[in-house]
Amino acid sequence: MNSENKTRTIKVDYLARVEGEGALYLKIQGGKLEEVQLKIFEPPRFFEGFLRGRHFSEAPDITARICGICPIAYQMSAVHAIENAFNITIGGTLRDLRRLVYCGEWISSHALHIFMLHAPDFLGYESAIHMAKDFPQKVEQGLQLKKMGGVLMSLVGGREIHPINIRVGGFYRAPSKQELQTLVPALKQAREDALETVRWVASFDFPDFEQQYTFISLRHENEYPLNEGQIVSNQGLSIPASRFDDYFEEIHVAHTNALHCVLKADHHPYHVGPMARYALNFDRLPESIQWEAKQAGLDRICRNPFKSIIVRAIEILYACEEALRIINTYTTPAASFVEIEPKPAIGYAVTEAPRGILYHRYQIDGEGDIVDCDIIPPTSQNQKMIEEDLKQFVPRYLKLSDERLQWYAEQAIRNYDPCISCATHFLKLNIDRS
Amino acid sequence: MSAKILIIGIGNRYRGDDGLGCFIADELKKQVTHDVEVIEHNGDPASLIDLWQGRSQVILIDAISSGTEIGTIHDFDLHQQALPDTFRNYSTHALGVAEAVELARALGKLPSHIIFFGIEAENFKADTHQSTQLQQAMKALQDKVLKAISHEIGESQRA
Repeated sequence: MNSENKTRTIKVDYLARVEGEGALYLKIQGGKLEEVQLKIFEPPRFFEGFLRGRHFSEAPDITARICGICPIAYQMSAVHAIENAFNITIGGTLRDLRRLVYCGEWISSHALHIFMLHAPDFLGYESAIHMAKDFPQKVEQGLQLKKMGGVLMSLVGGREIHPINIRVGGFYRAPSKQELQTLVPALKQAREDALETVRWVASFDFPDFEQQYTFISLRHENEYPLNEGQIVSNQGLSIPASRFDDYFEEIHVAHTNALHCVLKADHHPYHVGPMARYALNFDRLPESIQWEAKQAGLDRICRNPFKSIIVRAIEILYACEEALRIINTYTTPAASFVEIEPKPAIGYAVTEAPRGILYHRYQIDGEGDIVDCDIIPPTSQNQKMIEEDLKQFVPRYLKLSDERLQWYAEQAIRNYDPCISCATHFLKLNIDRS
Repeated sequence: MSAKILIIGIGNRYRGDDGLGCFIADELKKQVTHDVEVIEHNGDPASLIDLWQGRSQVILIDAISSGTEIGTIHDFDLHQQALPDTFRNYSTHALGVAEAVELARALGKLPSHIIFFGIEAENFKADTHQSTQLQQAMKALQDKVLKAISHEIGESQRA
């Protein structure tokens, strides 16, 4: 039998260096890629079910438990959606503090992904541990950046993992100007480390691969988006969070426990996360960071998903810069929160988690209890896009051994920093070469 | 000045047996002298490595799931050997304690004395129920740690 006609099945039973439990199945028949399935077998987690009947004030603490890497994102989407229901807008210093703690999460999450999970792919190492023997200074830098993010999260959020200081209406306790000022020297060093990281990752070799993505992110009138903005796309979409359900749809797919989120109009996949934010908000970055991005070889729009590692580094640089700006202008607020009176209402919010837009919707009754809610994390929105990338990318490497093919396929998945724990509300690879 | 010996109980009190490192730390806190510091930790590699900096003697205590009999006590002098592969990737994070140890070794940041004590556990579900057959092993491990502490203090006094 001609080898071209054989079926090759490549199965990665547990995808490494991703958050959570997932697998990849590739079926190659007659030298052609026939099937790609990104399977998320981490069981559904029923958080929306836990929230029903709970008081609105518990939502930030319950949803923080969805993820150990991006708890702030869940807390922020929760508080914004509930405040939206009660027509409350939090401004001034409390709003700045929310951006500050979110910067901490971006720094921590992006540093973990760049240095510990993704850079080893580009440099040919099995893991960050193997990479550390040859690049100790880089790995050390990554650990220091991650630590910086964690320190910010701890100071503003009360602790790094599942923070406890965030409440609807503001914070249980607002840090003093003096407390925040103590972070300035370390943040300035982090900004230097972030700049070196941009230049380092820009020197990697990138596969020549681009996709014509539909990018979706938030866009704010004058800021690089974190907590607020319209949901926009590079196809002309511009809607508030309250219209999310009109334009996006979750569909059940048999091979995965995470729902696929698609564009309602044509069921096409779309791309959320750092590349989408960057493409749709380049002009919202400070000029100095725009210049660094160009020096790193990025155009105003980056369509090569492998270069997402550069965009993440740019976002760490931005988050350090933004954190320093906020601390510099911060004054300790007179009150750490705004009192809220519940009323029957529905509220919506989208914020920018490190991996992309995170949608929350809450229906609340007159007692302030949650009647119904919906949470759509970025990884379930990117899941179908990851499969589409693999469908276009893997055929270029079919002549490679299963081992090399698996390497490239996993690298392509990690472009999205998938957080599978979040999406189910981790990865096995199966390559079937018939 | 930092205490001579740092004991780190690793785990999550709300994930069944995973919390045993924390519970043993609670008991040890009542029994150790001022030159021993006992803390609880979630196992995040970056901050674990950070905690070790400037420390010469560190003891790690953690629940493990390596396929041995429930309640089996494992101990490793981490300068002599790495934690086995079967100890890896049982963290809910992409990186766990075994990775922290190897990362620190690669970076030359492993304390000069570092011992790992682990108990084979059973229940890692999201609850506060601990397997009853672990009680005896936890007591035995406390005694082993106390013995290790007195040995380390004795060694440092002789040095």
